[in-house]
Amino acid sequence: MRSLIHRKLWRGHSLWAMLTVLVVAGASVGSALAVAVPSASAKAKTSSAPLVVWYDAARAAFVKEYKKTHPGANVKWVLYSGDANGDGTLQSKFALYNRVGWKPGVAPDVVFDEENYEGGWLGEPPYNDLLNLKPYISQSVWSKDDGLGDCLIDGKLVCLRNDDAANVLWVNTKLWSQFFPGQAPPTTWAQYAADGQALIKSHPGYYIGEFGQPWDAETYLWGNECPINEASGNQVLTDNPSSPNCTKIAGLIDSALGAFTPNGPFTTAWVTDGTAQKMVMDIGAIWQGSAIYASGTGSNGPGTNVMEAYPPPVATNGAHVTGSIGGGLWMVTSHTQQPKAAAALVEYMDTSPQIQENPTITQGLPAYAPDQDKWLKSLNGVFANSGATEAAIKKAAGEIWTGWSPVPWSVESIFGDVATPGLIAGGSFSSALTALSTNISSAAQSAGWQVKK
Amino acid sequence: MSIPSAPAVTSGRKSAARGGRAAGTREQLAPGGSRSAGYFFVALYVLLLLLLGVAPVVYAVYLALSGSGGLTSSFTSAFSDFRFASAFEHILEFMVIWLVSQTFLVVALVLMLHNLSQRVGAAFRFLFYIPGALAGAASVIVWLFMLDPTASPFGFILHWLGYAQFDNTVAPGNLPPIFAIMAFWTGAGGWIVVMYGALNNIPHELLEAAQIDGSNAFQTAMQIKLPLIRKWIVYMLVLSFAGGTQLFVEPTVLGSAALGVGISKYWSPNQLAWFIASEYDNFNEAAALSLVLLVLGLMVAALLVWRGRLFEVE
Repeated sequence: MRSLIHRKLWRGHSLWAMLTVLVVAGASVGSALAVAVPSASAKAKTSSAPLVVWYDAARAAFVKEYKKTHPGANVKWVLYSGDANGDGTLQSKFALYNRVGWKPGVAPDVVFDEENYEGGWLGEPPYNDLLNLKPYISQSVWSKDDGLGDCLIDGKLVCLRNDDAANVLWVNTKLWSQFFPGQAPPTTWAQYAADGQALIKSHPGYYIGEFGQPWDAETYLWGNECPINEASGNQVLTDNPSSPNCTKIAGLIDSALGAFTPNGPFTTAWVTDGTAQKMVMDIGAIWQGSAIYASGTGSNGPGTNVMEAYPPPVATNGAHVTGSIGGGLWMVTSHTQQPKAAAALVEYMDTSPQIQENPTITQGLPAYAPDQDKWLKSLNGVFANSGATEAAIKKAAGEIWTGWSPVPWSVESIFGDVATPGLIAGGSFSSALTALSTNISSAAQSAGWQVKK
Repeated sequence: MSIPSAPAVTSGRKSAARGGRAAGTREQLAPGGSRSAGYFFVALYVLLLLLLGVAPVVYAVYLALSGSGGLTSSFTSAFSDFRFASAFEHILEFMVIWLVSQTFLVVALVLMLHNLSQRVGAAFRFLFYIPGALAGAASVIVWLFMLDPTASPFGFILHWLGYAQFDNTVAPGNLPPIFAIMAFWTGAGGWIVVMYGALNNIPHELLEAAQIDGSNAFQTAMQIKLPLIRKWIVYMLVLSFAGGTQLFVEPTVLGSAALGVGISKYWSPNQLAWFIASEYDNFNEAAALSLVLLVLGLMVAALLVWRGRLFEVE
């Protein structure tokens, strides 16, 4: 009997408890919704709000220089990850600001992004958070940026390209003259693969490239005009893995697969195996030359005056094009209350000779062509045949294929998820193409895009 | 979220009080003043539960039902997402390996420990508990080194298994057992201590009577001790299931360390929900996915509570 009374009492309690739960929860939902709408007072404070600039660690020297040349500028500098390796920081922060409002002086006006494809991610639906810079920056300025395919989207200019990360053919001149005496480095993908096959037979354990890394699609597919990730405007993607531009390059890579190291340049195995010293050739970005090979310590590389840049192999369809790995972007958010000031800052950072011509401040080749020559002179004493290296780099910088589009998904991530495990397990590049294409298409459809095969 | 460890270590007596037998006598033990003190302490918990547990759930329900395409559109798009099936497949594989091995090994180990002398048993309990003292993300960092054949102190085992580099070790097929091993080492120790507390609560006379009746150690363990800690096993399963379906930290940290090779950002359903919210700005679909996990957890908990007679008062 006692327990029956107790149960009845408890039922009464539980009713009250449930009501309380609903009231408190409702209140919290209400408050959450309330913060989603920017208040009018926030807008009123606009004029005095500082310009908020998010920058990464590698851009700290840019900031220092800017402060020196612009004393008294009302700027709030915020150091962040730079969205390195596509960690999603920008997407998640922007998503949250889209919910709580872009409060001037708090939310970013200007952002530096290390990922070259993210202009398409943040500048298109569902984000649409980037300002079209065309009304604020003269065409005579922005048109001199190389690699603008990552910033010009549906006629809008959503970013400026900070550095040019075009791929070139890096050759270890010592190993080359030892293994291929009297022979010139390859100029076509077919020759490149043939050299790989020769190396497998005569000098196993030496390599012509890396394979199995997430950016391989950007090296080999982008560099051969493979239309597997080509935006054709209005959120339509062309994804055709059976194009000869895709199948031929995959077949050539497969024919010399044993001459590619599975060690990525940022893995411990790369350092412990001394892989950098076994790379006879490597198709890699301009920045990779100094970041990976010139260093004799950090990455256990061959040191200075050994590597030389050659033009990347001509595409199998005869086009003089190349891919691109990385290269940062300067972006202005469309929610800024100070678009002119924000665009002026971006233009200064991107083109200023004090910054972009100074190799101690900027480590990558400036995308802004007028600044390139002086920066290239800094390579003297770093690479073998510096004159030829400079010429090859400058040529490649202007040859980035514009058909590999900035899109709201990461091809690198997809390649790492679906292609690399198969390749590590002994599969071929050709067989990975279909899985890669299927997953790119699915990611596109999931982002609300139409897919054309 | 990382795999939750077992609840805080409790003494045998305290755990027994929560275990059920003493619960029925609550009213006799709590007259007048102490009852209001009880309400006070519970109120603090209820307040936090409302703010951090119930309110987010209500908000998630609101978000899930307010998708742009109508009431059920967020659920439809979540279910038809091309990553949905694989994420649940991964978690299912992981849960089967982890829950079965954890339940079997924890129970077996604790029954064996209980037969050892007090001092030796205590030493082993401490030993088992140490890995659990590492917070989720920190333990994953330790595992990053353990799984890299070029850096691991157990690299020879990995080489023997045919794994020459980190990417080989974390091949997609290996991930469910890898996460299960991680979860076991961080969680099992705490549960062993809790179960040991439950075993200590078994009246000494009962065990003595069994011994007098000719029961050997194995029979006592299986027929006396095991049925008496059944509720604790069910309790472990309920919490482990809820925690396991929300696997997040382990694949996220391992994925970022693998530099995007082989471990996607949406390996588990919880990661997929986070990915959709934070990288596609679609909080409605993410909320729908979170509710799927919640319903799944509640259903399994209800089933285990009902079948395991967890709240039954004797």
